[in-house]
Amino acid sequence: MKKLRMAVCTAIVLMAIGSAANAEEFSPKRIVSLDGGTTETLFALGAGGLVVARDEGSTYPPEAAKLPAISTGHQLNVEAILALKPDVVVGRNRSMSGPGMHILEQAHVRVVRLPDDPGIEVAQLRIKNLASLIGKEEDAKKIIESMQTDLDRLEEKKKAVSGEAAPRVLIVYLRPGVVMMMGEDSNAAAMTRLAGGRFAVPGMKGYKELNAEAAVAAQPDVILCYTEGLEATGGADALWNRPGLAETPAGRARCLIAMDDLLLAGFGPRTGDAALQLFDRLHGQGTTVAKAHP
Amino acid sequence: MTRTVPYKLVFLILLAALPIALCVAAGMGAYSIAPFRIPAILWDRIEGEGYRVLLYIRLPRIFLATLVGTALALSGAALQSMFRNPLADSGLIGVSSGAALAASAWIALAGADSRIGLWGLPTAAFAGGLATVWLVWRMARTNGATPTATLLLTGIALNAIAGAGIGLLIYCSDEEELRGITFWQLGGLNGTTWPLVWAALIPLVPGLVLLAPLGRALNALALGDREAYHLGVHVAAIQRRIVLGSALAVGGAVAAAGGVGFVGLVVPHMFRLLCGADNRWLLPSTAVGGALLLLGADTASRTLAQPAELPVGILTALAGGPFFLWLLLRHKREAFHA
Repeated sequence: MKKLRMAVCTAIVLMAIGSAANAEEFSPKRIVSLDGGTTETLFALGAGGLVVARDEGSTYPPEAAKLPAISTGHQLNVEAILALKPDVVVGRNRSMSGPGMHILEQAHVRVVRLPDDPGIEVAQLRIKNLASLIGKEEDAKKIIESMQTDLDRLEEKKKAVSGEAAPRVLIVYLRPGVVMMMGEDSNAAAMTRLAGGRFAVPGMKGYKELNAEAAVAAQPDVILCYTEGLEATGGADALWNRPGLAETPAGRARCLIAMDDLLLAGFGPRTGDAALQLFDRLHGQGTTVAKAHP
Repeated sequence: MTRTVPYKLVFLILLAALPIALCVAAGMGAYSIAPFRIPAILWDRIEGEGYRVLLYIRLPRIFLATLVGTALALSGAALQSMFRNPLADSGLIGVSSGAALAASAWIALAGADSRIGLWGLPTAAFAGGLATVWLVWRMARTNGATPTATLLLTGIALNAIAGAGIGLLIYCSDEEELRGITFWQLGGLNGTTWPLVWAALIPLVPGLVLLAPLGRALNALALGDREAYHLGVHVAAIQRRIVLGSALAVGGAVAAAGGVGFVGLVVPHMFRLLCGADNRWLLPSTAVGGALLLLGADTASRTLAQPAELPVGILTALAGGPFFLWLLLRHKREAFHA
């Protein structure tokens, strides 16, 4: 199912780009990016200057965060986008739903949808797709090569620890008053598997409030969360004060890994780097990291 | 022509059901502990994961569910009798909506850089609830008295304003804050720790103590403010006591458990439909009934969707609604007298 969706998305992207290529060498001058990973990729390709607006999740690199934010996740201001006179609006499928896109297309703005799915192949595919949209195929090759180098190193490191039991990872999402857990279909879970961790609540999908007892029953060795959520909810001390988490093996050893959400779950150009970082924290002696910087 | 069940019987059945429900609740959970080992675990203090799960996660939660259910149902019963309005509940004096507004504001505005951790949200909710009740009370006061009708309408008006405030906050909040607000409004006892239980007891106990002995006075009030006065009831003092008691009890309950709806509205009606409206029996029975409903709903909320949580507000409505409807249809005729 996922594969099919991916294939369809790829086809759509390729068609969009193909038709662009047919019509008088389309090269965008003003791009609106509606997704953090996409913005990051555009900057990595050296096309940051073309981006005129971003969504709120586009926080990396720091120059991207200075651009005007046009959408706030659940709301898309179509008029504000049109006012910027973009020639391309690009993002991942999830951020491109809703009637707004249709209006943009009617206004002859090219809407490019990239596939959502996590994973290395899709991450590389997205970079290639974006590169061919702006004619930066060479830069894409470099990014993908360096990603591959990281991933090869990761494979070696994984082989070195293949005798040990993989650490069980519980991925939580912290908001004031609620601890949510992210399911095995989340990007963060995909990154965890890539980095050699074991998902602690197999079968859990989506995005649900975590039952305190179930956290203990899952017996996680590590709690993984986003840096932003951890800081917004009072840091590591407040986390261990939540009922349940302190009683887990991770809680007793105070094993907490916090990573920037775009790095951990973006599956953008830093995918290989992120997987290496997570691997080191999961397996290295420095597992007891209370706070980590991207 | 009433075909009702004796008061005493229903009260005793409810009272007998409570310890059974407590034991069942203690024996269920996402972390499996054999129910028959629980007494041994607690008695011998067998240190280990099971003991800690039971003592630090499950028991405080069960305890708080019982208390919150009692507080919501009791204040609902008292307010319905005082307003002589079957639709009244703690929402009408503004405590629930005020707490919801303050909690939403906390999540949307302060939540982003709060260092106060776990205590900020309940404190804000409690303060918001109390402040709103005070506002309703002050505005409804005319010439030293507080006519019930004015109090009711003031409450409705402030509810609407608080609702608009919450709407505005939802509009301003990002996706995660939105989720926080929504989940708070559905209620939940997942975050319960002993310190939270002790903190909740500070307003809950005085609130319950103020409300519980009011049966006789409420019976007099049911006849009308003037009639009650002639029966020797100090109407203004009783009103003040009910409003203060409800504000403390519901404020504490909502601060600890979020916006658990339905309990305060429906549990008193269940008892009225079964037995009748004598407040001397209604108040204690409703208190126990509310505890039972919330205990049951919370047990379901932490076990049905494991390892996830179901918001308890959904379950109180889901469990109580059909039962209430069944009672209503069976006692259609009596319902008009209730």
